[in-house]
Amino acid sequence: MRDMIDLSSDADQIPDSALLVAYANGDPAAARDLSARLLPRVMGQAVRMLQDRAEAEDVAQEAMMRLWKIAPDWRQGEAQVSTWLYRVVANLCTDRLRRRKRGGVGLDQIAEPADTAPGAAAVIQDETLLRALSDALAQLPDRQAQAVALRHLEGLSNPEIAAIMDISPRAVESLTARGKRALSAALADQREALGYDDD
Amino acid sequence: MMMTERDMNDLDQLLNAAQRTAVPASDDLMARVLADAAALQPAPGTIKQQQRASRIGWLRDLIGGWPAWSGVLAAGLTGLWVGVAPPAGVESFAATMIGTTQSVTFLPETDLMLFEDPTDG
Repeated sequence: MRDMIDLSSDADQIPDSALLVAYANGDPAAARDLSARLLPRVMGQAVRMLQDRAEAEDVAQEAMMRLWKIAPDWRQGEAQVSTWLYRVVANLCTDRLRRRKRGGVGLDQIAEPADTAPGAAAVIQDETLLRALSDALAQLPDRQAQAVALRHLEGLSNPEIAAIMDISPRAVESLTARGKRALSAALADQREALGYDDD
Repeated sequence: MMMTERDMNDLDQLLNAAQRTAVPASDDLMARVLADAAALQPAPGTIKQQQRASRIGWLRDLIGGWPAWSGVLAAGLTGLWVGVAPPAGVESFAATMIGTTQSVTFLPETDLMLFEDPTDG
């Protein structure tokens, strides 16, 4: 079965693409190793963009499903699995944000936790702020939202974002600058809901 | 809306807070992902068989697929036919261009075209 590579020996050293090819060749351990490595990253990206655990889980599962489906056609050396996944998750998240914007799910529709312990109010406010950020992201054009999220939520460099979005680094710079200004304007509109002081 | 420096600072703080957001993948999500992987995983050897089947594919692709191959075959057969039984025009053209021609019959006693009248002689 393991005629390509021995996955049991130091699996961390094996590139994602090699594990993906092993999966496509029927190796039952490859999916487990790949999921352990990639799912936390995928889930993190989705949560940071959506600020909604249930939605993020759906996105993460869908992104991994697409990875399994593309595995038989994957060609090592042509693309990095991580780059491909960043792109898929960003696209799935902007789809969700667009739907959220159309559906008009706002801050007032988010269920508040029943916790009344000391400090709970601060936690609620933090969560509300982060959800407001995600809602403001939904107001942006898809490409701007993706560029801003990859730059400021994932902390990626312009060349990395350029590879993910298949554009030039200069275009990334322009998108993130415009996106950040638009995001700031969208958030300023919600100043009261965010609890900022007006002085 | 006019944006102030403070708006940008607020945004930067919020983005920094969001960047630190980390939600681990739950066991339930991991189980669902692995179930998807198992359901979609090709059977062992499937990919290799596909690769073996397409081992001569590079030659086919080089020419341009099977339709192009039929053209190559037709051209080859026509050339062979002209070589075996050249029309009179070709022989006279070759004589004009080269100066002289020589016909060689590989099977002198056989009429390949069966044009010989069986009742003759």
